[in-house]
Amino acid sequence: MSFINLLVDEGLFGEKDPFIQNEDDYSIAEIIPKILQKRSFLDLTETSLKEPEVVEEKEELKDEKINELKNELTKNINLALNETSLSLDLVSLLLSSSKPNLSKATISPFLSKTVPLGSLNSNKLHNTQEHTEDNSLIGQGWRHESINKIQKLLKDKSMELKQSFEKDKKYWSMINEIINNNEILIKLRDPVNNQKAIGVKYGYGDSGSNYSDKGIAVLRRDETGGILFHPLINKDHKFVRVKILTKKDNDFVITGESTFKNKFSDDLTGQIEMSRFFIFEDDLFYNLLREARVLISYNVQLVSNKILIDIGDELIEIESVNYDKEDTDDMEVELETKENDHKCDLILNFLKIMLCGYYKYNLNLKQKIPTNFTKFKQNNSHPLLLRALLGTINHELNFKKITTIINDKIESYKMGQLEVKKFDNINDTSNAFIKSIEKPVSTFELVLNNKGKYLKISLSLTCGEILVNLIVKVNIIRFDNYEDMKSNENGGNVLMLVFNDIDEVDQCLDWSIKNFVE
Amino acid sequence: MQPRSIALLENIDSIVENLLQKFQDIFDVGVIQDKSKELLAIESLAIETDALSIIKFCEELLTITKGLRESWCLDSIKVNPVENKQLEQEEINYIFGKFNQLTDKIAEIK
Repeated sequence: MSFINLLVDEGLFGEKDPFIQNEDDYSIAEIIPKILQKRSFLDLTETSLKEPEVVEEKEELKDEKINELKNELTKNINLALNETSLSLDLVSLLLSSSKPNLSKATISPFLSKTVPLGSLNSNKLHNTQEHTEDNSLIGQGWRHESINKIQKLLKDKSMELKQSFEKDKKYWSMINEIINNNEILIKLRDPVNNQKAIGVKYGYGDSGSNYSDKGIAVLRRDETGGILFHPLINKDHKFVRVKILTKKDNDFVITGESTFKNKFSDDLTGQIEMSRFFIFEDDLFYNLLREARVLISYNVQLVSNKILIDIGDELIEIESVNYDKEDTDDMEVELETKENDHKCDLILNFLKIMLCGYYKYNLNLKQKIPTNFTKFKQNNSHPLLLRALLGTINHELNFKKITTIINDKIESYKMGQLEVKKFDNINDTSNAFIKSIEKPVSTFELVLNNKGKYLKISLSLTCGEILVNLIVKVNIIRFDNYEDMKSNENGGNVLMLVFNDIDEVDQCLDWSIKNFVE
Repeated sequence: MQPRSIALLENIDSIVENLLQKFQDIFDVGVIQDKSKELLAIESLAIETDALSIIKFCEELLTITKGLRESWCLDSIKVNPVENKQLEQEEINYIFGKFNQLTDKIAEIK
């Protein structure tokens, strides 16, 4: 048997615990009551003193009880812990809908895994039974109110839409009217407010005209849904008027004036028609002015926006006149017809036809595959208006002059046979307007017979590329007998000249005939 | 049919369907049966928004008709059938004669 001495380090406790008293230190007076507390001395026997096991047994019983109690306590504590963690979980889950971050820290991993956060909610519970009656009354009121409101809303809106629909109907029926009038409608932006709008293309921009105003108008709506016609380029309405002045007693008197016969209705199609008419007139005068500038050296003058063409005793005046509806209405009544009125109308018509011809020519160019050549042609082509007019008049004039000259010769020399071919070159009738496009050529053939010898004088009256200048080709051949003359053989060339002046032709003819006769 | 027409018809169908749906929604919501005040208030607002959507759909239908008109009038090119016939020589001769008469008259000098 070995003993292990357990020594208590006195420093550990410091001083001696005052409450633990050494039993040996008790005095007899003290110890006896203590003993009496536990057992009495009455039944104290020797044997009982010799049996210490009983005391030990009792102590063991005490330990068992303590253990039991301890177990019960821990069990209770565990139970309480479980309950609190469960309720914490519940609260965390409840909170998770409003404060997810806070609840994440406290919720148990198991719950957060199995149940999504924020899936639990709470509502205050009322005893609603007594309010249902009230609620249904309030609900009825509210319903009534909102239904009244939407009824009014729908009614107002339907009226509004109906009105705008009516406007639209009017607008589109007018558009339809314009379409039926074969106008071209385009989409464009109104320059006033940059909104989308419908426009009408009434000008000649797509028909071969190069005029700056392409003739586009906006069709604006007015309040009632009608259409207001607004050309993009607003100009004064002007028309071209042709006058003929004849020289009488050294003074030029108006002997003819073209009349303005067009009547335009006030409705939309009339307005478009009117704009189209005036854009054409503008275009015509613009081109006439352009052409007149080139012809200044050929008796054409430009005086204060008037074109004056001088042909001997007559003066053709072309001007652009402001259009005033009332004025033109009155004019028709006032004016008495003059001798040259019809001719003025014809000249105006001729100019217009020629401009249309130019449009057609341009359009054909545009429809061809664009090459450098066609582009050059497009940029350098001019309408043939005044030149054609002047050319025709000049040719007629010169033709008359030469005819009189030759007839004079025949009369004065009492001989000669004249054969005249007017417009000798105009044989090709596939182009109806060839007479005004081509250079006119008229030929005169005078045959003189003197003592068996023949002189054949061929005159060819024509003009240059510009159509207005005079060119006379004179060819005189001398034949010794009739057969040669007939077969045009063995002739002696006397003269072959080109003249630009009628008087020179006269002198030349006079001289050659005189020479032949003598 | 062109895809554009099909899309247009589908669009019209869906608008009409939505229109009817909104009307039905209004009637569905119209019942007041043990509903709480909150629900009733929300439903009142829902009725009004439904009405506004009905108006919007009607306006959309009108814009469709407008668009149709525009494309009919502007996008279609009207082509007059021009018989590409060769002008008869007789007609040319007639114009030739008339035009020459005109030029002669113009050039006439007394």
